[in-house]
Amino acid sequence: MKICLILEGCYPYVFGGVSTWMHQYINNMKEHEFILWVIGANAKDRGKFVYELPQNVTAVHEVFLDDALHVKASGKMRHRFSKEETDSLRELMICGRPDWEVLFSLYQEKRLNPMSYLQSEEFLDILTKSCLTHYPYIAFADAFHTMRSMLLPVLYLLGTEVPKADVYHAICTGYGGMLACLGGWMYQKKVLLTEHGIYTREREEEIIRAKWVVPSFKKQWISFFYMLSDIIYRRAFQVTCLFTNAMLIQIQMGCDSKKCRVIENGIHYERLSQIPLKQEDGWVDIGAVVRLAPIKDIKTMIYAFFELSMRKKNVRLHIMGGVDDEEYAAECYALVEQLKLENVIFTGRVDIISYMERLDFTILTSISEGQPLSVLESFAARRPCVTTDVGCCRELLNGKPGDTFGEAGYCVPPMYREGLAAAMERMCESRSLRLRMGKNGQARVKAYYRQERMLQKYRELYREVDG
Amino acid sequence: MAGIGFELKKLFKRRGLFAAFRAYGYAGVVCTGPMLLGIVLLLGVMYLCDTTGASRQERELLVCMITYTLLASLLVTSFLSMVVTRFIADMLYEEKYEAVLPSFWGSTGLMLMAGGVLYGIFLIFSGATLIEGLLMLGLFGELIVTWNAMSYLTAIKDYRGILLSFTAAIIITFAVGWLLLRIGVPHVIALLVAVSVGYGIMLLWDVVLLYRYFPQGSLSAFFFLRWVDVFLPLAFTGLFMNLGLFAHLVIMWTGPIRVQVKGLFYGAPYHDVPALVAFLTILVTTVNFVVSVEVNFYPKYRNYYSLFNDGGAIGDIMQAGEEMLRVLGMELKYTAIKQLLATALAISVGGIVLDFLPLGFNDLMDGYFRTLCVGYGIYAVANTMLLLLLYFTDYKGAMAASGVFAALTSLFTVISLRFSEVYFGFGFLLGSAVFFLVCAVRLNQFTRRLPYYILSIQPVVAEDRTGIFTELGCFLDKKLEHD
Repeated sequence: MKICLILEGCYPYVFGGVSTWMHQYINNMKEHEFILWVIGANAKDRGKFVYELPQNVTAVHEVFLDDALHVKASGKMRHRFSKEETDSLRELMICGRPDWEVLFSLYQEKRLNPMSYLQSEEFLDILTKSCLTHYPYIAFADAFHTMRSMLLPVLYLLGTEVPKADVYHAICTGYGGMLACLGGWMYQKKVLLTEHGIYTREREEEIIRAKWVVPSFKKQWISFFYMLSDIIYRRAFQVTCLFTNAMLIQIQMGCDSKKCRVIENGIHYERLSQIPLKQEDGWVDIGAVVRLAPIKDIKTMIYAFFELSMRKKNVRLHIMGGVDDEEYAAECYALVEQLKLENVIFTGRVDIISYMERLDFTILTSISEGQPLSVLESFAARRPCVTTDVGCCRELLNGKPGDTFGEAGYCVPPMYREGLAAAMERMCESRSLRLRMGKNGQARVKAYYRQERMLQKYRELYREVDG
Repeated sequence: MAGIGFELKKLFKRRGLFAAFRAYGYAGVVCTGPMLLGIVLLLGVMYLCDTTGASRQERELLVCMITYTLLASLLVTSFLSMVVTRFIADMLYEEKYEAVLPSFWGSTGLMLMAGGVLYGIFLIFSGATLIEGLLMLGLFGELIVTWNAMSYLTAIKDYRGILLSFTAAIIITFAVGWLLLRIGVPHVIALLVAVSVGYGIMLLWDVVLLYRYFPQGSLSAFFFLRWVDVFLPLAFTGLFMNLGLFAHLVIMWTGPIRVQVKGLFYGAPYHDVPALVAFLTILVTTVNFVVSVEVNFYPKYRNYYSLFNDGGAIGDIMQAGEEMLRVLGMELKYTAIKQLLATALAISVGGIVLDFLPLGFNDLMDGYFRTLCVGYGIYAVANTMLLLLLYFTDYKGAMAASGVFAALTSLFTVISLRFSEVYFGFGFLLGSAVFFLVCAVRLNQFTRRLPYYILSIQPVVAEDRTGIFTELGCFLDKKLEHD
């Protein structure tokens, strides 16, 4: 089958959980042909892949959001809008429920120029009317510019070239989800969605924190991403996620529960389970497999480790992962220096399999996660884990209902420094506890989170598409 | 988890600002200033000639020479004056005061060079004597610097300074002229020198004012040329307005009522003199614009535009827009009524008064006077609307309207030459009437869709527009660096 995978801002441009997963996924699905339809932020990244693409990837369609800025207006717009079209465009603006087929056709078949549209009187007219009814008290010029910057990427993507495939499989909602639906509409094919985290929720958190968004428009931006997710939730043939809670959120956000299913991530169990345990050497080595990025909350990790090292002298922290955010990384290095922490080691990107041999247990302090591979890998290698209570971490540590393997680590609220320090301290105190918890984790991974199991479920999914 | 979210925040951060540019109004008004000043000086020179016993030939040659020089200098400066005004307004808005003076010398230098060469060539073939030619070229240069300095002074709204320098120019011209005539210098030379000294004083006065106001800067003198590329329609608007005002005079110099004074110096005194006097009637609208239209309209206009800048909600914007357009309509109506009264008065009473003045008015001239009074009256009101288009930054509309004005007044005047002499003034009158209609229709259309022109017209992504003038600026900068 020719599968078009739609990805946004990850594979094959940057390393990370989803990227790693995707790479292994494609490599293992030898029987299928894959087309990558990838959305990047900056056109300067074109062709700059950090992964060597597997043999069964036959084409890569790259689209970049900032290319939208270079679209030239084609003079004055000649198109006369039908009532249907005006209604759909209005719904799009008020982040309601536009008729996407009308929009698809407007930008794919009638080739409406997005720039010309945003400069047209029709656009202003719809905006004026919706502002009068929906936003009578907000700055009109701001609304105008916000609306333009909100719509430009969407309208640009709607007009982008659509690769032909047998099924469109989006790995997130948002712009990616929208493109998948566009592909499905264009060639009358089924659309699948696999969400690792909840895209909309992540955007929402980002927007709430963002300083550059005028407060009165935060709601608008958030609704905008909800609207984008809504398309694929409605139009997808099947929607998968990594754990039960995520599925419940998807359903809550409007996805029909009948098409939702959980497919857990899987890892290469055999390879990891062979890693020997660390010999006792008087030190307790803690590992963190994370990119240096704010969402991983490395700073809290460093602070917590600082507290731990006040109480225990024989601890070391290995932070393994590349730099995602230069500025944040610099702040982390500075923090380590400022706290005079000698036992924090930034290793950069390393081979986890060989490095794991030096670790006693691992830690994850993220503010947001889906189903972190690093926890699964740690378990497979019989290393317990201290994590924040995000994504499905608690489920991984304690097991789903019906899972009797027992605790495999400690779970504390995100950003809770004392809690993290205390959990690490407990973990440091007893080797036998670590061994027991590690064993529990390994058993759990072996039962539920093996790659073969995951691949088999996705293969079934593709078979359903065919049938 | 992956996802781009909104990497396009740069786009969002960029917000257009709409500085409310009132300078145009003044610039437009004051653009009639030089004409008025020139007319007063011309009439004065005629008077001096008459009272000191100059020959008719001398008098007419003088009038021709001064008129030619005046019109040529105004035409040359007209291309840059509005753009320069916009440039200054932008620099003042951005508080880049040090960029202003270099641009003054840059623009002056360019116009002196281009204009000087053209006018110099004309003078060589004009049949003027060497000394006359040199005096005229000198005066031409002075006038260019002066008109350009006035664009700068209006931008800083130093009207008192301008008015004082006008007065000084007039008094000194008369004093020097009278003195030179007394010591027996021939009329043409004496009065050309006098006018040069008069404008020379005005030039110095204006430049001193400029230096007092703006700091000296080391910035590029040709930086402003970028503005010419971006606001090219504005440059043409300036040019067309002057062409429209002068063309009918020049065309008359080729027609049946022309008088060849000397060489290429032609005149049509029967038409010129009534035209000059009739032009004075637009003073009513000029003054009215400054004291009434501006005063009442500008606050509404600023309020409306600032609502776009400072977070006005849609309801407030709509209300402010209605209010602004209401005041605009009212002011235009008053302007038209006032000009109508003034024109009626000029036609009825003016005709009688003129017959008593030593200008040698006859029936034909009375006829031209009446026709041109109506023509200039219509022009004055239309010009007010044109200025308002510029306030609303409808540069393309303004360019089109002024283009119509220039083209039609010329065309109709040429056509009128085929008819009886009595109809010669109607060419300008008809051209102005069409100009009036175009302005009225465009202003009406444009103001109905203001939010569209303010917001939607802006490109989604800011782009730099450069062209030959920007390149010229870079070229000149490099040249100057090497020397």
